[in-house]
Amino acid sequence: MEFVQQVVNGLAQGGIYSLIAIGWTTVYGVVGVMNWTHGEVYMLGGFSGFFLFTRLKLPFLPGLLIAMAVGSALAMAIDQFGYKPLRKIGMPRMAGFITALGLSTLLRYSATAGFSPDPQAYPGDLLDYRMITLFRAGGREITVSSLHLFIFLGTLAIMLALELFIRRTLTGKAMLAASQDMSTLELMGADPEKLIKITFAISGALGAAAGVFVGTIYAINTMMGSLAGLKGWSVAILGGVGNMTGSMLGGLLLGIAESLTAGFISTGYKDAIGFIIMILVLLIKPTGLMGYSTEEKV
Amino acid sequence: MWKSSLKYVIARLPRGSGEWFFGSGGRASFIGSAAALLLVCFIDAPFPSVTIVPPYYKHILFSCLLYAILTLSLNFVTGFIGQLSLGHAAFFGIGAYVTGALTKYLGLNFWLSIPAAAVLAAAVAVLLAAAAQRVKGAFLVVVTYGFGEVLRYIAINTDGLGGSAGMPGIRPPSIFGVPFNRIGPSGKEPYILFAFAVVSLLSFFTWRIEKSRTGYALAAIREDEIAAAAMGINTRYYKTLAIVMSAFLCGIAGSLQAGYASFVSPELLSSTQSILILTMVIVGGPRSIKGAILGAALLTVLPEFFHSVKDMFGLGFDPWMILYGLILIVLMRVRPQGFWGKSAVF
Amino acid sequence: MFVKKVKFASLKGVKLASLAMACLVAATAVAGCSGGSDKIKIGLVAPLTGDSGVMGESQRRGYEMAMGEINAAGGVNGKTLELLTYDDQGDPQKAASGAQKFADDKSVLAIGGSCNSSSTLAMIPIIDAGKLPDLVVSSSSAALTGASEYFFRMSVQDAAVGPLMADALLGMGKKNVVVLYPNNDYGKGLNESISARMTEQGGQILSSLTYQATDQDFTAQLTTVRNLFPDAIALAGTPTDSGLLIKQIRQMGIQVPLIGGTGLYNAKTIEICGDASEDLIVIGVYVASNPDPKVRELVDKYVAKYNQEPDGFAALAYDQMYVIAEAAKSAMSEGGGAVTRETLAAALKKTAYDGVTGDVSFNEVNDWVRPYLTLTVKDGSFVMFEG
Repeated sequence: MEFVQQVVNGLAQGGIYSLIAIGWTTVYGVVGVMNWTHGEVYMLGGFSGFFLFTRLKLPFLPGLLIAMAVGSALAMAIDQFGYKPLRKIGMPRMAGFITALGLSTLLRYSATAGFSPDPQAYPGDLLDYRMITLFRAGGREITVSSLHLFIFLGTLAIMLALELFIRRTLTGKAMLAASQDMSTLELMGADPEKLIKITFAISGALGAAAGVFVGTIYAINTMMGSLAGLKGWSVAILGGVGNMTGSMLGGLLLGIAESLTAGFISTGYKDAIGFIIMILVLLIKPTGLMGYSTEEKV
Repeated sequence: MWKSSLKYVIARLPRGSGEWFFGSGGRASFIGSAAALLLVCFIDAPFPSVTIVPPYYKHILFSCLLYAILTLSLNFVTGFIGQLSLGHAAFFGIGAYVTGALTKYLGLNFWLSIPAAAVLAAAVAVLLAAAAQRVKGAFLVVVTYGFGEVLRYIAINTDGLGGSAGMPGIRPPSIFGVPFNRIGPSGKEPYILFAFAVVSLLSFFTWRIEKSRTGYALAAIREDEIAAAAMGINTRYYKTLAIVMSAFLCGIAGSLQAGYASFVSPELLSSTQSILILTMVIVGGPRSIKGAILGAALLTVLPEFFHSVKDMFGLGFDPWMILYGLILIVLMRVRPQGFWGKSAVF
Repeated sequence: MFVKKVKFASLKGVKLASLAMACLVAATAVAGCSGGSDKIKIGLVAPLTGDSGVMGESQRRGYEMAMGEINAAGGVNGKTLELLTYDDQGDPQKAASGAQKFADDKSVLAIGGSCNSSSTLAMIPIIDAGKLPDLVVSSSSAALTGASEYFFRMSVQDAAVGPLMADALLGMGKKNVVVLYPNNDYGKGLNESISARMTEQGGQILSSLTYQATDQDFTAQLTTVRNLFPDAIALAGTPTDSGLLIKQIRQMGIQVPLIGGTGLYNAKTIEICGDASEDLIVIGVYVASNPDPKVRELVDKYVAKYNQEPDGFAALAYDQMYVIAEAAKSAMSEGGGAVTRETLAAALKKTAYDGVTGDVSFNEVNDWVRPYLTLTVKDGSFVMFEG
């Protein structure tokens, strides 16, 4: 059954969208800034993976962890130099948006000047590659590549760990509270700056992980952050701001929609259909799939 | 007779003391810039052998004016009702494609294609305005961005519109049977003057509307939509009005671009274009007419200037994009309201 | 007080006008200073950053390489060549600005670029009005054929490469073919010419599938391909997308012969797809493993300078700079030591240059109709295809 196969393909691709979107949504939920630099953290994560795997010849897992640490550090630095000074003056919404845009342009083009616009590929023997037959349907084998499956499971694992962290630890609970009302949380004695640092660290690690995953399956270049960033952000909004499960769901939905469009409707309109679905969902449920609507205070 | 009617017109120009260029009034600014523009445009006409103002500068000048139309249009949405739009290049592109297709395939007169382009852009904007009633803020940004991208894919996938390579060979507009590119020393002058006329009218219109009932209604919606609705302002009507007006004007800019370049391509609809227009408004200062014009000029001239800087120092890469990022960051920290904005809007 | 202001108003207008004028004159003066008579300036409008940055960068490197050699050998009749670049970022509006800039600068003799057909199309009216010879190594859109008498195309022709790909497949007895092409004019043009030749010669196109040039995941398209059971797959893309495609085709267990157009001739293609590139067939304009000393010299120097083998664009650009230099030389000898844009264009039309990518000459619409090589990948590098 080609339909089932295309859905499986979509899930594999959607996993990466989800991972990027979760990094977006955590920052937007807690800090309230459309963090455009997330796409750049993702790109630089991919490049740190590239240097770790090709120059230092590290195996996959240590390389991934170091790249995630680099991503965390980078995201925290972005916050320190970019957003923190703005928070001091009350973080005007537009200023945050434009600062993010500026930071992302700065990082993207500095990277292009430094690494050249050439695409780069990870070593081919980084992870074992084979097609895995999941099950048989309608006389056809439904297959998925071991890499896609690995990354899908990796995304799930990261999400579960994050969910546990948020539900079970005090810091996590504070983060959840912060995404609803930062000022009340401050009155309760929490240190907002510390919370924001942790949020950026998590977001950066997720973005870098997504970058390394994409490098492992595909290839990387310095412009990859712009499209991935925009898509990740769209997915985050689609899923509902600040809601991780929503982001996960939104990413998978977009992945499946794109895959089905490419398989059955038109390969030329693949991305367009993704956007149309997104717009329709937002018009039907303006807060996104799993977003909660808050009554606006008058 | 001619003199007295000119006097009559001048006497009726808006004065708006001190809030236009170089601390002068609206009338002085208009006369001054019109005079400067005419001088720049036609200084080369009497002596064709020497070039004082090369066409490249005129090209940049036209780009500045074209983007000024776009920023003034976007200002209705970003400045007046305080919503971000990442899809405004879509209206610009619609205008360009409508003019391109109508003049190329139906042989329609360029001047007649302008209203067609503007009306179609406005009609499409009604859909977006309907969306803007339901979502706003970050959600509206996503909707507008997606909307622009969908239109770009339509342009790429429609072979009749030239596909991804674009549609070349659009006939230039003509006036009294003389094609625009035959008028003036470089053929760019009529476009410059036409764009200047649109910018002037638009500035005047914006200036008047801000102090009108509509302007106050839009301001009320921007500051607090719920309170505005409670006061009996028809928020739905005014929001639609702002967006449709904005799209209508972007459509005119698109027509102008199609005629000027005699070429349209899907890049006109891209999100990069939308982001550029938006940053022009923000850098200049939302809600400021002067800001919109100067923001457009600044972000058009600076990249060109840095192309020269790069050649001068023999740099291996173009420093502009890196510097552009830095400028945005520093500006938002030092002057979040933009260079010429009065107070932070958001 | 109010009246006073009105009085001053027009005065201020004059002040404003004079200020603007002063700025402009100063700017022109600066611009006018450049340009010495002992130099020949060549402009390049190309995407050096952005999604097609790789293409523009290859062209720039090819130019730079050739210019260095020409200048070291004494330049063009004693005049040194100088390269000016303008990064259009793949945006036609910017490309038009760049073309205008170079068209105005009378010391610029000729320009190269741009890469994307849309950018080049936007430049055509400007170079035509400025009578500025413009040479390209890509931009294969049919809309550009004979677009201006100052426009010279040294790119590959879709109309020639497509039939060669089809013939190579038919020669191997592969009749049922799937074409995968990027959704741009290059991909579309190549797809059409492959399909036309294939059906004409008794073959069959099972399906033509498109994708965005920036896409990375092709599983959806390849699932369709796998279910069609083709004899062979034709790829009409560029290095990054095709490299990823080849990798994913093999990973999905589709083991049919693959053939690609000239865009695939690039070390990056092999680098991205790794072992999967083995036995890939490619139509090329030159091959780095060619024992010809001219080619060897270029490859060795290029690798030493940029740490990678020159791709098709770089090799074509390298030849193109020599073509410009040769044309300038012959224009000078005819014009008594002086060369203008018009005489250069006239000389370019008569080009007969034997370069690393073959014998360059232009037909009546200034296109280079050229022979091609059929290459294949053995042990991770391109070699001539034999049978």
